[in-house]
Amino acid sequence: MALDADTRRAMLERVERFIREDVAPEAAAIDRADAFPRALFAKAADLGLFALGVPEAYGGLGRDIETPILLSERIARASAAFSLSFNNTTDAAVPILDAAQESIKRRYLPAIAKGAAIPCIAISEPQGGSDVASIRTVAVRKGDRYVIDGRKMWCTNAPVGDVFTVFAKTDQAGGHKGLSAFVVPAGTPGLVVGPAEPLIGLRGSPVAEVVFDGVEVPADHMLGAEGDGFRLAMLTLDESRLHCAATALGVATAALDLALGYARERVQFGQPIIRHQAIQSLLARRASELAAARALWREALARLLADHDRPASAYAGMAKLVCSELCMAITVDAVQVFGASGLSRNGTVERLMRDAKAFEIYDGTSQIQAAMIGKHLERHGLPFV
Amino acid sequence: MKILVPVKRVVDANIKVRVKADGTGVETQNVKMSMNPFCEIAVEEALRLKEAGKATEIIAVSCGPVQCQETIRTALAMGADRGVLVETDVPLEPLAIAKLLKAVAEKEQPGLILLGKQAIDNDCNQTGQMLSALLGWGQATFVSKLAVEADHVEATREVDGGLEVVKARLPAVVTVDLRLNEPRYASLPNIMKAKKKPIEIFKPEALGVDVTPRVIVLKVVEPAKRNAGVKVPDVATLVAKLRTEAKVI
Repeated sequence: MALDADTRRAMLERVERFIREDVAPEAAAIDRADAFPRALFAKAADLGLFALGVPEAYGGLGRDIETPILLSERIARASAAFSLSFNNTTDAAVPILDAAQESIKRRYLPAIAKGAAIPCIAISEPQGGSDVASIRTVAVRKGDRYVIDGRKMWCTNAPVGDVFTVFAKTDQAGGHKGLSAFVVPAGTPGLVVGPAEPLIGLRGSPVAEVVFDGVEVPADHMLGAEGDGFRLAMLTLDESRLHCAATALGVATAALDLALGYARERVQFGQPIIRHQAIQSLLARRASELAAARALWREALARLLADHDRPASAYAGMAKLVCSELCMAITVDAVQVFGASGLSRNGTVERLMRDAKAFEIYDGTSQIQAAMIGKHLERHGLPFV
Repeated sequence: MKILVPVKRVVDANIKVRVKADGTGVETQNVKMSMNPFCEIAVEEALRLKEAGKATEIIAVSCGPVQCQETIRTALAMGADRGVLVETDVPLEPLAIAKLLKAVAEKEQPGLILLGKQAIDNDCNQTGQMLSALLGWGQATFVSKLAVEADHVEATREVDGGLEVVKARLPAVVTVDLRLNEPRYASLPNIMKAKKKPIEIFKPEALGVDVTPRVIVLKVVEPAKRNAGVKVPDVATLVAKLRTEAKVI
């Protein structure tokens, strides 16, 4: 069921309250402990947050692209790490609901919608992330089963994952056309999840290596047909990039808001530092740039929803590039506005600065975004109407 | 037994309220509005009574502009069964609301009316008491604990210096205090389900109620700003200041 404006607003207001009362008070502790916040995840599940991406037939609220993206931005204002846990759960279910066999959908989607099963995606490898054609993990057919061998890196939620979607080559000579995707439940013999990688930011949103050592799955666990892997990997790319842009905007907005609050209160040389032109100009410019980035993100979202065409993809890349880089710049400036207090691990802006870096890296680095946008420009010209 | 729960749309408790420039009231345009927190407690209590098998149906009723439907939807998302909106753009005073609620109660014949003890916007704390008088029903106000029996309620009231326990025969009007319960939050699936629950809409005229205001608001002003205090070096200075400046000793 498509959401009407009133219902979406009621949901956003409800989630705002959850963010204010449950997420925000935990944000610093999640970062410090660098542990997946199980209790908070359970509260979010009770709220129905993970039902948003799943169709009603499988216990969800209907596949809705817009609401989760809007929510990512809101949650990120309080906790970037939890925002990522939320949108990774929503995104990682998409290949299953797009291409899995009915029996597989029935087995996993209702549990994902309830928050009882955490899905995660295993695609990047030690020697390649965005270059999916170079994937070395292989899946070999053996009777009515596939045997998967290989190593995956940077799998978000892997340490807490219940169901893995792994991308592997079924035709090693076939380049990206030889790529297929499989659902592998946690606990399958041969599937080994490494320890969570200690990261500088987004701590509490665990990422880890996953090793597939002769992992056998029934053939019905393949998503779609052999060779559908590349399409499935690209399926949610634009949506994920807007999720990433949303999370970056949330963090940037929180950082600028904190810096502004401090600049109005902090008195030096007899007046609040916001009246010193150096700070005034910095905040004014960053607020203007943030307004522009928000507008770009909204237009990219509107295009994705209206007509998911080539210019919409270019816009998703531009939004990801601009929002993530601006987030990094704003969080660095926020630390600067706070002066020495900005450096304190007891404050908030240092966490935002550490969190920001990841947005320029995951779901395609800024360089990859630029390459994709550049390719679009070369082939199709400017994406403006 | 049906339970009627009146719910009021007020400026959200987290919003800093501003007085309108012309002094006619507080700014409500483009301000986040929510259900009065005491009304949430009333809805929660009704839901618990239904879950305990003491009630069969919960009807949320609100009086005011068409946007009050959002407040009713919040109650429906929490678990109320259906809604009634008495729609009017006339500013409503407690007596007018009590008369409207009496008319709704006569139509619906609830066994119990549960209300918030007051609304956080105008702090009147009158509607429940007036409604009880108009209906000729018993009332229990400021209730922090409620037991519903076959033909009566036993209510614990927070009064100065302690707790008072009263019994009221059903049907009754009960107004709830802060410590009665902790209201649940609506889940997202329940917010969606609430969309399908019915809301009946009446005009005050159709209920035969004259809601014309009886009170004229002359002016609304912000509280006077409190000046910063001073630190005194010693007790002698303090005593001197209390005597000569404050003139309290």
